[in-house]
Amino acid sequence: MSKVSMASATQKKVIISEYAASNLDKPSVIVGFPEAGLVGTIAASYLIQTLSLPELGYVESSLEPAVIVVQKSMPKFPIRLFGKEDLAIFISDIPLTARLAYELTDEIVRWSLLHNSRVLIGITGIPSEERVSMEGKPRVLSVSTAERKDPIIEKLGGVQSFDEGVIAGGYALLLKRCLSLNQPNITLLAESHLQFPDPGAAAAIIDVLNPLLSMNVDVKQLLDESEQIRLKMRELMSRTQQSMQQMSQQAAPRVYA
Amino acid sequence: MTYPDDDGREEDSDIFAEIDRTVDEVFSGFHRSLFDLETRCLKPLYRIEVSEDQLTVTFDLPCVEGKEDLLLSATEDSFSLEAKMRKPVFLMIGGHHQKNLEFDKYSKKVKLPVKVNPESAKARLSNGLLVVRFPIKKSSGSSVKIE
Repeated sequence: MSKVSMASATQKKVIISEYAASNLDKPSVIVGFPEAGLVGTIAASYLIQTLSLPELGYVESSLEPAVIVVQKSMPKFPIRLFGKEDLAIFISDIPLTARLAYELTDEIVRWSLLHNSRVLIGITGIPSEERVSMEGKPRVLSVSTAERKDPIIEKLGGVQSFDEGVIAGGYALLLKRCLSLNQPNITLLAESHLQFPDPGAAAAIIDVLNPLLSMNVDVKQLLDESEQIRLKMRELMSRTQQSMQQMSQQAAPRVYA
Repeated sequence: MTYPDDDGREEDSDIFAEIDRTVDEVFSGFHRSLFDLETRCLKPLYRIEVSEDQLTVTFDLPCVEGKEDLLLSATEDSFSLEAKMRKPVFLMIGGHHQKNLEFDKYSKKVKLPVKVNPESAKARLSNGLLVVRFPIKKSSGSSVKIE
């Protein structure tokens, strides 16, 4: 377990600590931050529960707000790492400031490279006005740094690619860092609500992840518990709204394409 | 706010501002904006959008099923709703309360950012989302003469 960065002039702002040597082997790394519709957080949380992924470590940063969340009488680090074998998941229970997101995404990509990650997968929502009246499953769009002929891309199958536009927020930072450090990245954006927790969009993401990662996660329970999830995540959604506003003030006028 | 590499005073003020904001949030009864403990009501998440001639308020009302469970009223500059939930839910209230409390309804009064015509409002409930649209009240303007 290495907490100290070597040969670094400035002190590290974000440190990823693992509890013990893990059995991770060229993992696919999924990243779930709270953004539009809390899609990333909801999907990541459901995967961690359903696949019973062990908690491997946590993130510590001087840029985090001075808060800790207590759940079931246990204090929990707000940003944590779960996983086993060929799957790792970073999940954040706090919305990210621009500053924290910059340093955190950099550290996550470096961690992924260190672990020979096959692919880093960002999962989030893309706000859509039609989501309010949408009856069926929302669409999932994909952005990828890999070439069309890459075998990973083939597993995306019929998922529509995001051809034109601007992506803002933590996932944009992940894409940028993956591009500059040469870490293959697939980012999945499900049509979602912007300011309401959206378990339906999270389920649509998981339906795309299943063939991509050769998994078989059943989203039935996620959809059945949709109302409860919307109730329980109100507070996080409310805090995320403020943080998304702050981030968008620095982005292009149309925040999400 | 510039980043990434300033280790000077600018970074310090960022962090302290952040801590101040967080502490305010935590200690100012943040829950009050989502729960009303006296009336045992939930305050729903909502979103207001203003376009050129229309104002739209959208409420997230999980567990509310039909229009018969809703009571809506509006004035020129405010909108009120009360909604009964299909069945009561238990939600854990943290902070100094530390209780699992039962809620069975939503209640919210929203101040509108612009004046509207309340009598022409249209509301629709689907998938637990309530969308209310108002035409914006037109104030009679006057043309501006150019010298």
